[in-house]
Amino acid sequence: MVGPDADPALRNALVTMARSAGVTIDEETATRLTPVLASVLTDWETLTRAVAPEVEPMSVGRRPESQP
Amino acid sequence: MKWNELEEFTLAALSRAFKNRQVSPVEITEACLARIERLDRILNAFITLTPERALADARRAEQEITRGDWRGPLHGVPIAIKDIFATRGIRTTCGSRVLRDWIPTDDATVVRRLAQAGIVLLGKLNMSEFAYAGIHPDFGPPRNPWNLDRFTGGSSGGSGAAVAAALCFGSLGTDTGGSIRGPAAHCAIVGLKPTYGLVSRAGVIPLSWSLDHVGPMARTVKDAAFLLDAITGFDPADPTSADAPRGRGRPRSLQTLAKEVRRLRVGVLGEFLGEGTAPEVAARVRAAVTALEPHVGGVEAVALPHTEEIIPAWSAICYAEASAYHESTLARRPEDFGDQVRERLQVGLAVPAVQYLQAQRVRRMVISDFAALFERVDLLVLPTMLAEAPTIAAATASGSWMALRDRIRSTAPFNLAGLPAVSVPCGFTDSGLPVGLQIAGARFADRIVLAAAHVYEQATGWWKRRPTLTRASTAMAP
Repeated sequence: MVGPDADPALRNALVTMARSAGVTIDEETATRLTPVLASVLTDWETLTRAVAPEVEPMSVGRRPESQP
Repeated sequence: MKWNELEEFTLAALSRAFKNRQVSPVEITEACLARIERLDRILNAFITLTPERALADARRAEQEITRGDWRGPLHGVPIAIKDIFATRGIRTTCGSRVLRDWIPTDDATVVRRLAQAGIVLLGKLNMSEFAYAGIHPDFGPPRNPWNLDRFTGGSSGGSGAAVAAALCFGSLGTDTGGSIRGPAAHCAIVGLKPTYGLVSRAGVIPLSWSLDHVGPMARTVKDAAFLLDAITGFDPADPTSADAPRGRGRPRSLQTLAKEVRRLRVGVLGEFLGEGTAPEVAARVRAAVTALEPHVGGVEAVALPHTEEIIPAWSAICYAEASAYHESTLARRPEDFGDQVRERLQVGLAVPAVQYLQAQRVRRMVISDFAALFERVDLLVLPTMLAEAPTIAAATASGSWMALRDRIRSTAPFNLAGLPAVSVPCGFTDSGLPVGLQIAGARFADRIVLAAAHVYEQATGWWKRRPTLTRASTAMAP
């Protein structure tokens, strides 16, 4: 998911998300921040794994198939 | 009173001296201002100095104490606060060009409470920009009194330097991932991040509203407790404010609580003493646990589950909330942010709502983990910071904010869970830089946490060691 091929997509995502907030990110900044965003993606993968239904402590928000 | 005699006093000792009329608030305030004049050109702890306000506060306190109207242990005591707290009529920059000329029309609740306690306000202290990342070049970095080439830690770095150098007798800081405890550890002072909700944040510029805490920084645990007592209490102006349950979090003397500490079980979080922790730091903390052991009910090794997920969750929440808060300013005046903060805020705009919510779900898991741990033990101990203070050059270098994740690994868990945690000095590395012991407790066990830190502090006496400030003094000598 996080590799050289993903960079243009990530870069576009960053620029687009910023634009939606009214923030313009120039080319140079976008290039510099793309690897940072890539490292953050690793965090998000960790979060996604962590809140698998079997370890989610709240019943609200569990997927139907995980309900006891 | 000479400027170089102030180090003899802790806040508590100064308070006694005021009450007994051995020294006067005006005399001490003048000495503080002289000391700041002499040392702060090197330390750069202050952003704004308020000498006229300080002397007016001191004269009022002196008159009140003289006629027997003693307000309490902070009456007449010179205090300086992080420049993140709104102060009526005094500019409040938050360390940023964005707010360089902002003069609030109201005080933050905690500032008002300190004023009611009769403090002398010396000024506003340097900090990382918006308590987030980097030091804005308009203000420059504060310097660590223990080694002027080293960083104080962030973001309450000016508070760390000012208290350690005896420019003031206490300070208030804020802590979103370790910003009170880090500077406390690196500057060899005491810093408490209280339970979430115990201290009002009304009038405090947010970084990440669900992680931000306000707390005291002082030379000793007792001094920090005096400050905490003054600022604690429900505040309707802060929607997250909570009143501590009766008997917990409310003022009780540390001496009284120290008796309870003897019965408490202490858990050592071993995962913060191995890989990723500087060996010297781990050794000092292990020695601290050994020193604490005879004074508590028992010590055992414990483990915190889900440590791998804590920093990703903290980061997603902090990034998203900070960018949400600053979004409109970032769109209108991006050039007024320092590079590091601007870039971090830009990255934060890309945090998806799904990941923010997943992070909040992880947060509930971590809160449950801590609750389970506090069924087994009463207190947790671990290093405050996992390495000695970095050089200023390393701490302020471009991209250094990515290293923040490693620096807050041992402090951020308590922000995520909203639990009280204090840093107390526990020794020095071979290069003479301070190491902090972190003691954490259950929700609203703030006074117990402080009592345990007090017991340790009194048993070991590290607080008595002061920086020599030789270079700073020499540089400023006439």
